[in-house]
Amino acid sequence: MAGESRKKRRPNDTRHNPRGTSRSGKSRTIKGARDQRREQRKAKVVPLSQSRSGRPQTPKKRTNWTPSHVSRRDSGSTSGRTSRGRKTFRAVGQGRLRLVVGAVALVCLSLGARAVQLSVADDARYGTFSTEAFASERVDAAERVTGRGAIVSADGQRLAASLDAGKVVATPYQIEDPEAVAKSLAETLGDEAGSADEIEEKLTGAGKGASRGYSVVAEGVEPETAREVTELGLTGISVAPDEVRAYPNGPLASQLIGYLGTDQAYGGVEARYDEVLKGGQDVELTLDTAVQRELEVALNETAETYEGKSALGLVMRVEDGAIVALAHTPGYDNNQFAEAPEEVKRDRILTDPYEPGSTFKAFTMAAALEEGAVSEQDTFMVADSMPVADVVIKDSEVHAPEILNPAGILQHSRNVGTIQVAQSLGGERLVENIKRFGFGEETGVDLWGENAGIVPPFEEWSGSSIGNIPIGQGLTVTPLQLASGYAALVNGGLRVTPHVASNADTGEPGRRVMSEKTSSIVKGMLQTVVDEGTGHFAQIPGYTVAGKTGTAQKVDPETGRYGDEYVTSFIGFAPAQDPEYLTLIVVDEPQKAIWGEVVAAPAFQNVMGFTLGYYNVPPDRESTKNDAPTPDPVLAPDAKKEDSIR
Amino acid sequence: MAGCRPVMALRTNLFVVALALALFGNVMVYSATSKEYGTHYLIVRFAHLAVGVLAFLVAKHVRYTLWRKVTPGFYFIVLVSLVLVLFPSIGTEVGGSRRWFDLGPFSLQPAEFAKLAGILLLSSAVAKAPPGSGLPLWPVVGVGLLFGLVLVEPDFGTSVIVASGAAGVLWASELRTRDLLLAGSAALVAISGLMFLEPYRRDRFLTFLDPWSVSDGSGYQIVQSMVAIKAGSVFGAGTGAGGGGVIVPEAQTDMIFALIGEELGLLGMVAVIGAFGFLALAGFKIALDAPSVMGRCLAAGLSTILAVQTTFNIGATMGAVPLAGMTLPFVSYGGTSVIVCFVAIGILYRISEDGERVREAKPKKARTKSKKARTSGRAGEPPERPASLDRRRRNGGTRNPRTLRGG
Repeated sequence: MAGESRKKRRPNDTRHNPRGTSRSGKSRTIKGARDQRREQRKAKVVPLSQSRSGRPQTPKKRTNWTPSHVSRRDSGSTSGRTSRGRKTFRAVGQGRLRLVVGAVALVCLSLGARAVQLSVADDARYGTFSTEAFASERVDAAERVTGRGAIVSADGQRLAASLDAGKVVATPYQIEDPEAVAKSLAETLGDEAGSADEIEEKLTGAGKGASRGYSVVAEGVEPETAREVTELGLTGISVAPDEVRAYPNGPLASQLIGYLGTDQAYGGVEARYDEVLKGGQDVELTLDTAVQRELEVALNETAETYEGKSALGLVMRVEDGAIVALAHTPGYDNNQFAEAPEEVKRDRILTDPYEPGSTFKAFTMAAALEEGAVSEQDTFMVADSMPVADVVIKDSEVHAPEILNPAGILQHSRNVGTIQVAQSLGGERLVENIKRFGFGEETGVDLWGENAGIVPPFEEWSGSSIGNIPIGQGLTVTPLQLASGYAALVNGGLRVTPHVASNADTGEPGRRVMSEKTSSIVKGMLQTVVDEGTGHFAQIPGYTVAGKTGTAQKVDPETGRYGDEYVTSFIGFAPAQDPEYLTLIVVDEPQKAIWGEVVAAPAFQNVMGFTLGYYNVPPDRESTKNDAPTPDPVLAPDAKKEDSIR
Repeated sequence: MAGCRPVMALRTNLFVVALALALFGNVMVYSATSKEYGTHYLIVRFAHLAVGVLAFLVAKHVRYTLWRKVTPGFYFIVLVSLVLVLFPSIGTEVGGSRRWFDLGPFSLQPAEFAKLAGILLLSSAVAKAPPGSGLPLWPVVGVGLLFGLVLVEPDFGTSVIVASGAAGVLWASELRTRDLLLAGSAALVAISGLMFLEPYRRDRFLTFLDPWSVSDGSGYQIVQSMVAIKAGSVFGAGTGAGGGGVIVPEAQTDMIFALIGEELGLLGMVAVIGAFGFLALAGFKIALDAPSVMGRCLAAGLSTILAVQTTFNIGATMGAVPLAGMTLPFVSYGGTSVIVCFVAIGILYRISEDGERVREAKPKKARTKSKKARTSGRAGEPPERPASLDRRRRNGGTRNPRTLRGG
């Protein structure tokens, strides 16, 4: 340090030279200073090494240094300032550190206080106003998180439930002989866990996603098997509690129930009520497994008999929109979720809109009646074809011009007649009414993935729109929208929110969309469809039944024009004047027949007949009276085969 | 220097308390894991502890001034390993973070060493800086680099510790207070910004404000931990008896304090908080008594990381600060963490010892050595000095602290 200071001092010397040293004798001064410094160094060494530590020696140093040092106080700035500066910074640094010490003590006390508050005082303090329910409810919820709630049908069947199981976990680096361990594990676990080689890969930590410290060998192991694994007593293998989601009814209502994967729920009630189920609560559905089973059987038979690509159906309580059965075929089994093709997993009834065709005519008629554009007694001269703008609308069969009232038009499902009715109503009012029934917007059903369909606003209509929208073309609806619309149509005119959970939030009570009178007239008209018109295969002994057939051409996605494929449907309800349930059957692309009355009505008759009996709906008609034309439910499909050859 | 005895006791106690906490950690880790994994974690913990004590002994034997020499190399190694750990083929990914090197039975977490590297780098730099000067740019950039690399792993908690260690060093240094306050506020803003940019960290903060509202989602861990602590009440359920009613995720690592609260109750918690309070205060006391700026900065930095880590871990468990994912020093399961903590204790021990020697040596040994010191070139030119100092050290003396300070 001495050397350093000497080097630095020299130039300073010459510049400042305070204390009146003669400026003329520069060189002498330097020389003299050097000598002096040598002296000092000798002098300095002694006290320094005598007391080898810094601070206490300072005074001693001073005594030796002071004369020369003071004389060049400014010139010797480096060392001088350092010693002084150090003093000040020591104060600064240490002072700052003392602050920290205080802060640490404060933090310690706060943490301790928080610990006291949390473990002792909290109870008394919050207990008075939040009560134990507040705390214990949450504790309960938190505790129950380990068990996911079940999905239960209205008749008490468990559609989805979590079962206790085991998870076999390996700690790879603890395992000395992976081959032998893998072998005994493979024997105990059976096929599901994979072969011995696959297990060994997991045990060595070489597999994908495995680490040396933690590797899952098998999940969802049955409790019995898990116990056997524990009894093997293998080092590095342990069994942790696990849960498996089981779907005891297999393929029943699989799309509606949805599936719980390892990290999330896919579709259906599992996804929609994920939060509730996670919280350990059960979700009770309005779905009844008996009706559901009946519906699925009927759909399967229909699809098979008529070689349909797929079919879907629904049974709904018309009063509140509660869904009693909802099925899609082909279906799949949630227990084998991974193997099922993706397209069968959707709730197509609410995700896939279609052109509803003739089933939609009832809404056109209801709108015209409600708006007073037509009355029950009006008559129309109905030809079998008519030009609308640049297209010609044809009826489904060739017939001589006939005089029909509105009921007759529906009864024979006349396109031309329906358009005439719509023309007297006008497109604008028609669209208003269509929207009022809930088309073009989501129904609000408590399932995810709903499609709103498309109802072209009146401003976007082309000249020919009045020729296709009234008969259910040129707009799309989901089957669920159609069913909800019918529910409003026949329950006296109140909108419903379809739902599957018994305590679903269905929002405000239904808005009125039409008068009870109109509803009653339309019900009567639709009853004649079944009693006398196109829907006679839907008749059910002992009940008055009303409904409407539908056969809509599908748009070929390649050409964008109507192609050779059809969507065939039947929607009906019973008892006709005071309905309790409605049933919708939709068959996609049936090959052996296309007409709704042939393909879908018999399935409707099966399901509806079962439903009415199952729910003890009192018969409202002498069963013998209308027995004759009713086909035997079992024979119905066969009986139709002859008709279907076209 | 009448306080020689208490000071001796202080640093010995420092180690004893650290060891006690670590052994206590063994008990708690075993309690958290025994039901599922048997003795596996306990055995590994003992291995960690053995390595940790070994690390302490080594660190204790390294003259703390030597750390300055190894700092560049150590820093470089840590930096490289922090980069390497990000590569998928080298680093092991657990729970979405790449933080570990898988070395067979051991896995190393370079971010833990980054805490040490940051403190060492900065201490040796600021010790050289003249008093009252501004923030040294390059060392701060170096620490910033460590911070950034740890942050991208991502390991927000550890990066915050790296930053707070640096803050501790700077605060104890001789730099201008105004600069430090400015830099500190800038860093605080930056860290808050980082926290709010990342959605899951923002969620953590919002969760912290009202964990109950999301008790089945992001607040689950905190709520479960507070419920567990409350369940423990004053005396606790007893070691090994916890975990039955309330399941606390990560009970053996980040949330081990919840288990302490549940099993040992308020008394256990207060004892643990007290122990950590002692560690931190002892560390800062050593910093205050350090024989040089370097020693003071080093001690302050190490004490700061211990204090910050403890505060954030315990605080988060009790819902008093946001969850940042920090381990509880000495107690939590985690090999690298235990080792680094013991190294920190070793360095503190040594600083205390050296400071002691400096004070103690003055009246007695200095006189007997004075001639030797003088003849051995004490007055010589700088290059000779280290040799002479070493000799004196070998003879039972210590370095003249002034040389340490002056650099």
